Amino acid sequence: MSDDLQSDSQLKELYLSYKKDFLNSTARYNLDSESRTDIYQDAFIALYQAVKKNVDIKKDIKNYLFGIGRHMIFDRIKKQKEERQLQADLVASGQEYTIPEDPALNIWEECLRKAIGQMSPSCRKILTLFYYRGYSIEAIMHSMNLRNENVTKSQKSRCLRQLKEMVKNADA
Amino acid sequence: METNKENIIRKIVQGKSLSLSEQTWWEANLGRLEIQEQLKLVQGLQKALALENEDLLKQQLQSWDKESTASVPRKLGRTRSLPRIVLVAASLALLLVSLFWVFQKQNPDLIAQYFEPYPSILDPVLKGENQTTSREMTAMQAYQNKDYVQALKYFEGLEKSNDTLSFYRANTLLALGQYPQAQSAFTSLGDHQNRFQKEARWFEALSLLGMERSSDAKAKLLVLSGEAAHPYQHEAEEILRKME
Repeated sequence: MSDDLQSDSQLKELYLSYKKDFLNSTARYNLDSESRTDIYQDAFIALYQAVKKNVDIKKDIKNYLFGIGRHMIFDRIKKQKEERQLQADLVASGQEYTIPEDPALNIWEECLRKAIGQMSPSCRKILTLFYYRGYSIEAIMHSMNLRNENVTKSQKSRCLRQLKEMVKNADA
Repeated sequence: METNKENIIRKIVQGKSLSLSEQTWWEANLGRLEIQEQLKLVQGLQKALALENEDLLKQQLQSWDKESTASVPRKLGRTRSLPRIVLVAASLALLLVSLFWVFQKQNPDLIAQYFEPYPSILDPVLKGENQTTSREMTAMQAYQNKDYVQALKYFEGLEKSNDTLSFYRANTLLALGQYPQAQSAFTSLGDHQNRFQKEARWFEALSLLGMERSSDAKAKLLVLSGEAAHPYQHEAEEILRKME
């Protein structure tokens, strides 16, 4: 995501400018500062994605960011309580306790993700812009300074073909 | 056709609405194995790219945290000469004075440099509306003549649901330095689909600058600067550089 940002320095400034305020305003919750920082990062990522997808942010950016962050804090506290309760129940019943894994991606999607991670930065970027951000071919051409729309289209097709090959080879 | 097909599948995955012809194509081809496979690929790509990009951004944020922590100088000992409260008060006062000076100077300068009331499109306005009244004509005429006080007077009595007129009214408010009212009007125009939606988001950022809400203005400008096809993308980039 960050390799195609127009300006990392502005994003960094925005990220750091609200961080201290967020950590201070959430200090009363029963979470250490490391966990709150982790949540702030996740909330910032959620905000970034919302803004990039033109999600309607009715209030200002800070309200939106802090609102997401607070929800995430409540979720984490709730999860911790549930996990502690589950752990206590399991200990009482003599069973072992393991934290369940997050089943976000199936095996094929995980394969796809691994292959994306192995691609060249330009291929990752063009696929991200087209499939994730929803850019048009013309917008990608401008964003990546490509010669014309045909070049952009063929580069995108080449990258997609390469990705399919990588996934196929990983399957075999 | 290849690109059209891909675009339709992308729209489906992103939950965007289809045009009538796209909808017809989709319903006719939905059952084809090839289309189902492509749909699965695009869905998988979106999920995988989202997670991959989240990871990259998370790493980036963590590295900024480390940098910012490392750049805070370590305290070697207590300062003896002045009580801590005096130092804090002095720093705050200094900060407020400098912020006041910076905002007073920088934001109006930037607005003056970058704000140009959107060109009047008197004829298209009339062409697009069936029942254009003489009051609308007068308002637009005053706007065109840069007589913003008169323009606002006429705009105020007009139908608020007309996006074109609302856009020019908001520009008038901005030209008159009525930033909070302008910002509210531009926010509303940027919130729904209309011919000035993109432009409204740029003017909204300028209004926020006028209101001295620099962080919020920066956030909006940051988004615009990342949109390659946005009509004010270069201006957003430039203004952000100047604000650094």
